[in-house]
Amino acid sequence: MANAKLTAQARDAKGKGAAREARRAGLVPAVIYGENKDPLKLKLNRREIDKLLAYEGSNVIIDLDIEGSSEKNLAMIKEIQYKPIAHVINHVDLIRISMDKKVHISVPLVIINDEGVKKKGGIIQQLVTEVTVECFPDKIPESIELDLADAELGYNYNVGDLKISEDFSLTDEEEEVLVSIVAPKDEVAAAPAEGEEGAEGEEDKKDEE
Amino acid sequence: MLQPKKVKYRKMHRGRMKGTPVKGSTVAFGEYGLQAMEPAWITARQIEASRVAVTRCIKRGGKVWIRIFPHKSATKKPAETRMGKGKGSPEFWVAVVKPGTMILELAGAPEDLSKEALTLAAYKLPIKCRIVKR
Repeated sequence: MANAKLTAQARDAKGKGAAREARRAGLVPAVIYGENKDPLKLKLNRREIDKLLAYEGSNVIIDLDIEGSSEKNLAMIKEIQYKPIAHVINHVDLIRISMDKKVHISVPLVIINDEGVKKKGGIIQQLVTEVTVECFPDKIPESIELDLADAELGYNYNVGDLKISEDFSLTDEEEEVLVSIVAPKDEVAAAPAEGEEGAEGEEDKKDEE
Repeated sequence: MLQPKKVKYRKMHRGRMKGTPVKGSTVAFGEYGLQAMEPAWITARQIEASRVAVTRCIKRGGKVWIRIFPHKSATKKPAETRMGKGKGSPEFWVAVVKPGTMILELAGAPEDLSKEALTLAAYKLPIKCRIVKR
């Protein structure tokens, strides 16, 4: 996959006043660090970064072009901070990478062939939505699939159950539970209580279990 | 109902509810979440009512996480009491919720049922809420 392109401007001023001014001007404060080089404060174009995330996702190699600098920067997104209500980007952390060094990155865990479990009446409890992989930057998988075709009720799928290619390795512990297939609760326990408040309380304790 | 097991001091200052939460504003455990859009004190009774509404709606299947806890005691003076004579006695427990706080999370239920359940839960709360997806 081709690298994504992103332009950035160097940012001298720091602190919340300067950051807010940048945000008002349609820019996003950012920082780039890593590879034993000095960190650099940046400003990114909000439209560009939104477009990048919408079309390419966050696990993408970025050719970062910093205005006024001839240095080539290969980077990846390390962290994105969002505003809790408006859900717009507040700040971006970029990390410098080199193509010959392995990176640790979170990749979505996708469940496939789960129709059989639903037919049996089982409930899929996905405890983990992302797994961490170690790989070269050009070998990052889009997602990791967990096949539930021959799943049994009551079985827990661990990290060790994942079938992965040789291009990358998993860094999470093998015993870590990813998905549990649980049998449905008794109908009696789930039936709503009728009558007064006191009866409701007892019923709810059962529900919780 | 939720309440602390033990507290160091029974009565608390009321405090302010300025700003947005530092943490607890993203869907961390489930697939769908109920996010507060206003600041408020949510009582333990309201939290319990919303939890019951969700568990009844999804019947069996699905898992619910309550992301807030009523750590704060709220006091009340008895009815028809003259002002003064000190602070009232603790009556109930509240969770201080700021705009953006994730109140409930839900996983393991179909999308339409999850949204319906969280809508019912929102009716039990004294604030405007929105349903968010992971």
